[in-house]
Amino acid sequence: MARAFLLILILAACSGCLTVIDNPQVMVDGRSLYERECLACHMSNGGGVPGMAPPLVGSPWVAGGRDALVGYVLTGGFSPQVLMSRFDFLSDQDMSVLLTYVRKTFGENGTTISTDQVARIRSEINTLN
Amino acid sequence: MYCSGLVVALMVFSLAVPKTDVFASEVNTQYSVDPNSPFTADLGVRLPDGFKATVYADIEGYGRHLAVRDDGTLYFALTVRLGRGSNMGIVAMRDTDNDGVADDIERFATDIPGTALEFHNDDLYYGSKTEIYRFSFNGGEMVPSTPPEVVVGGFPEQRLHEAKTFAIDDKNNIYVNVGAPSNACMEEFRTRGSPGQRPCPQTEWQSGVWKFDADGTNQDQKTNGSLYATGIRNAMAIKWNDEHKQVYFLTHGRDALFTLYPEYFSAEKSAEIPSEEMHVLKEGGDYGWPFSYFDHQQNKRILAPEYGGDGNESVAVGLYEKPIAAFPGHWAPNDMMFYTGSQFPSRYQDGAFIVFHGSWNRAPLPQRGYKVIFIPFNEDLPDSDWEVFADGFTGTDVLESPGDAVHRPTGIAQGPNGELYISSTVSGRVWRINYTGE
Repeated sequence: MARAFLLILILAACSGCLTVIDNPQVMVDGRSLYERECLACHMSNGGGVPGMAPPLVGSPWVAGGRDALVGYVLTGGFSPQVLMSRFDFLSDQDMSVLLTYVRKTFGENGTTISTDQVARIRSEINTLN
Repeated sequence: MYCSGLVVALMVFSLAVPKTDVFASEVNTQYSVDPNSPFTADLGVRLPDGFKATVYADIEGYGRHLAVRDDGTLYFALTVRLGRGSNMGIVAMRDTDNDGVADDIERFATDIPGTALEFHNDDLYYGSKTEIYRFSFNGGEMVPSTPPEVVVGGFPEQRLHEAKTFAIDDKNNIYVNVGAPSNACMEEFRTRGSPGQRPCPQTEWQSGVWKFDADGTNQDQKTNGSLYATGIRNAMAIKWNDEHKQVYFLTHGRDALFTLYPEYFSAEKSAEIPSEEMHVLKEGGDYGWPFSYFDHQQNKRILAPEYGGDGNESVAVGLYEKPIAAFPGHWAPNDMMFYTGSQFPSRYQDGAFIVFHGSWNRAPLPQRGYKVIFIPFNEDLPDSDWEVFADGFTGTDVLESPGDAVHRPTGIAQGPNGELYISSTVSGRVWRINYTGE
């Protein structure tokens, strides 16, 4: 069901950008979270491991619609490569900081992802499960 | 025993026959590649003094194992896996003018992605993802003119650890490695907090070695095979030793101790363990996956955290097999062979070369492995410290990400004149190595 929801997310255009909070601490905390949760597979440069973990740099998931990215990370991956586990154990706050860091670092200086947005997506996924 | 030389940590243990325990914690630098010796980027490999390499071929594709026919023709497997690889099948190569470079190159089985290659009674056995094939040759033809037979099929389809590597003994038995389709048999794949399954359903038809008739045709794993040994995560490197009449193998140890259990493991600890284990294949043997892993720093088999372990609690001695050698974590042993030629100095005779594809699961620490090592044997067991036989594949001193490696060694085979061939996955390169003494 979560997978079906993601497809809906992909199809749905992400509209209504939230306020960009330019907070340097977000990048510091985001890097710390990235190093803890993501770096082992996606590497420090976001280049991934060929044949195993896809790169974040250049990834449409990272640079594209934010709802889809949040949904992907909350529910886990479905790539042709090794599956990514779900990260729904991260709090809304941690998830927003982490994904904001990832988008700004690897996703063409993408816009932020807010705590409210994570909470909304999480809630929508939970209603489907 | 705690060993602080983590990077080069290796411990060798006696098996049932009580020999003097040999604990090798350092690389034997006397015979290793000199780390200060010059490196030629174009060549892509660095060897100890007295050895000389040539680039035998650069083949477009994701390279795997090698086998050499008695007439000197080299066969090189190509696969497509996890979104990688452009060609597949088998590449046949000859160096007709003996200048160290293949000048006659042909391809066959280009619709079959595969990894393992070995000659048996002048037939070429080829392990794909779900079958073992047998190619027969008519006389001296370089490429088989008849289609292959299926020796064994019916293996489960899986994306991870799918390569069917094998060894063939002197009684026409073939021992096929069926890798585990997961990291540690968690209920949810690589998910923090997800417990390990007990019993692990992935041990029923996977994570073990199955025995078949090497001369047979159209055998099926479920009806013709017998489970020979279990608890093996993925024995990519598996080889029959005709002198000692037994099969040796190395497994790829589990990943992600730190990312899944940060409460028990630091990133630094998790980069070094668990060991990449070397074993003798025993009938009925249980090698401990997924319930345990070996920790060479503590010299004991540890209960896996998915099954209640905390990184220190060991499992009962004797419950699972003990390795005969243990190498640093995540180096990824992809192939091995015993040297039986007479070209190399006598100390190489009957010792083992092991090819390490190199790590990914060490980040944020620099990646390691990416080398071929040699470990001398005394009788049927490793005898002393191991040495670096070939390095320089990555093209850089400090490798942060596997994707930056220029070459990644993966296969090894011996030619009829005692020369060695080594292959690379990502570059499709094959080197030929001779001993010149210079």
